[in-house]
Formats: sequence, C-alpha cells, structure tokens
Amino acid sequence: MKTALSFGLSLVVGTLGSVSFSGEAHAVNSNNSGTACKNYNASQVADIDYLPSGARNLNASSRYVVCPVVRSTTSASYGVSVYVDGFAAAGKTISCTLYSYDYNGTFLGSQSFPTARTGTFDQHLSVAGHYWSNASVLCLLPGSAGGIIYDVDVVQ
Amino acid sequence: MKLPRITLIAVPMLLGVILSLTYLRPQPLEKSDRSGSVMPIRAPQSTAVAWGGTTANVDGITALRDQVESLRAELSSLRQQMLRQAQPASASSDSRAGADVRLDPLARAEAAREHETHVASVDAAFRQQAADPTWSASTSSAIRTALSSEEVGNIQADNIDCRADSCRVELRDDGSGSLGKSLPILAQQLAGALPSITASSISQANGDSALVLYLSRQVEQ
Repeated sequence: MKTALSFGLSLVVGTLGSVSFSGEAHAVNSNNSGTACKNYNASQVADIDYLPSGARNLNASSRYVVCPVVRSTTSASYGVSVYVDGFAAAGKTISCTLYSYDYNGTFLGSQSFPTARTGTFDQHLSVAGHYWSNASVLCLLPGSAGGIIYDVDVVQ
Repeated sequence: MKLPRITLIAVPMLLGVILSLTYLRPQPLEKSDRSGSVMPIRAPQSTAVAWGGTTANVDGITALRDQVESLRAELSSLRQQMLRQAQPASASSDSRAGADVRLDPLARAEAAREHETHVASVDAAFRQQAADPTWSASTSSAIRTALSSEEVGNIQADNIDCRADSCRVELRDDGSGSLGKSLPILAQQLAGALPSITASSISQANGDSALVLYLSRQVEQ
C-alpha cells in the first residue's frame, strides 16, 4: 500500500518537477544567421546585400562585414567558441576573425582563420571571453557577390 | 514513435492519481530529503477518516490535493536552491540570496582575475621561448608592415618582440577608439602567420593606457 502510494506520489512529483524545471535557463548553443552581418565601415553600407540565407558583398572590391555573436552566458565557463559557415566561389576566398571585448571596452583577444577559405566551409574559432564579455566575427568578403556568410553558430 | 508532450505529462499524472485513489490508506506519509533521511510531511487531518464511501473519497482527494500543494512548496524550495547553485562560483561570495550576478562587483573582479591568469600563462609561455632569429625577423617585419598599412590606420608600436612561436607587441591607446576599430583588421592581416591573439590592457607610468598583444602562430583550442 505504502509502495503504491509512493509510486503515485512519485509520478506526481515527477510531473510537477518536469513542469517546474522546464523553464530553467541554461547555456545553450545559438545559431546566428548571416543576415545579421553588417558593413564594418560606414561608407560601405550600400555594398552589402542580403539573401534569405546570409550576407554577401556586391562591390567589385572586397568588403568587411561584422557579425554579432549572440550568447547566453549563464555559466561561468571561460572562452567563446563558434563555427563560421559560408561559401566562397572558385578563385575567391573568405577570411574571418572572431574577437572579444570586455564590458568596459577592453580588447581581450582574437582568433582568425589560419588560411582563407574557398568553397563551402565550416570553420571553428575560439577566443578568450567570460560572463560579461561580448564577441563578434569580422569577415572579409570577396567582391562581386563571390562569397556569402551563412551563419555564426555559438557552441556553449 | 514520439508521443505529444502533453501525453507524457498527463498520463503519469492521471496514473498517479488513479493509483493513489485505489490504494490510499490513512497512513503517515513519508518522503526523503536531499540528504536521504526520511522526513515526515504534513499529513492532512482528513486522512484519519476511514476509507470507503463518498465522503471518504472526497476526503481522499482533498488529502491528495493537500499533499500536492505540499510537494509544490518543496519543489519551489529545491528550485530556488538549484538556481543559487547554478550561479558562477565567484558569486557565492555574495551572501544575498538571489542576488543578480551581473551586478556583483566581486564576480566581475573574479572574471577580470580569470583573464589576467590566462594572460599571465600566455606571457610565461612567451618568455620561456628561445628566440628563432629567422622567424623573429620576418614576423616582426610583417607586423610592422601591417601596423603601418592605411587600412589598419598607421599604428605605431612601442615594442615588438618576437621569439620562436609568438610575439609580444605593445601598442599605445589614445582612447579615441581608432585602435579598437583597427584591431580586428590587424588580426585579419596577420592571420596567415599569427592567427591567435591574447590581449591585456596595462597602465603606463605617465597615466596613459597601453595594449599588450601576444600574437601566436599556434591556434588555441
């Protein structure tokens, strides 16, 4: 009898527990679309074009775009880790740098693609960072719509 | 086959209620706390009524309702404890329950110390390196070229010291923001030779601020 009662109560407890804790915040991965990337230099705003799947450069010369790295910093883990996904047409390249700044504007560090990428790529980058720091990715896009940044995926 | 979430929640709950109604007897209730010891919980007075008949059923349901309320309170308490434990370890110094770690100066200081520790380890590794004259000369030259480029903004370095795997570069920061704007572009231009940069801000004797960059050809993982 007691066992049955315990079982019943356990089910209720489990049910209540699952409902109660389902709304908890955890450090989760976050996929940031390349459509959030913007021109790094103000005068080049009209050079950057957006597709449903990302951003590209229409100017004949290469252009920098800066992409936000949106994180959910609920853990005390040190460092920022991302994957940058994109594509560069044959004969064109894309290079990117992940960098981080402290909440007071202090530069913490950066990591760049060791070699510029051609074709479809999924490049991992990591940099110093903590609870209050913020990070972005700067990419140099080839001219004439020769490359696209699809997304910046944060791994936490 | 994936069941709808509502099914996963509702079925065990319903099953629990049915089983409890079927087998419930007026017995003292027990539960375990986090330490594993058995603690009595509030036993509703109505459970003292003999089981059987409509009145007893109603009383039984009332008792269950009371027990569920009691469990809700326990879960709420446990949830608060879990939230406090989920805060960064540095925040534990703050004795205020439920304090926002974002506003905690001690936690911020701890984060700054963590970065300083990281920089200290990078600096120690740099100083342990023997000089590689060939690599040092070519890399120093590449850094000077990048710093003086128009795109980076013709930045003057106070000191450039390259060893075997990494370089230490001191840059003066005039606080105008131009150095900050240039740093990611500098990192891009040097990516082929030095893909990783660790930075630290230092105060100089004259009160100005300087930025120390440790540029490495090793990619940190």
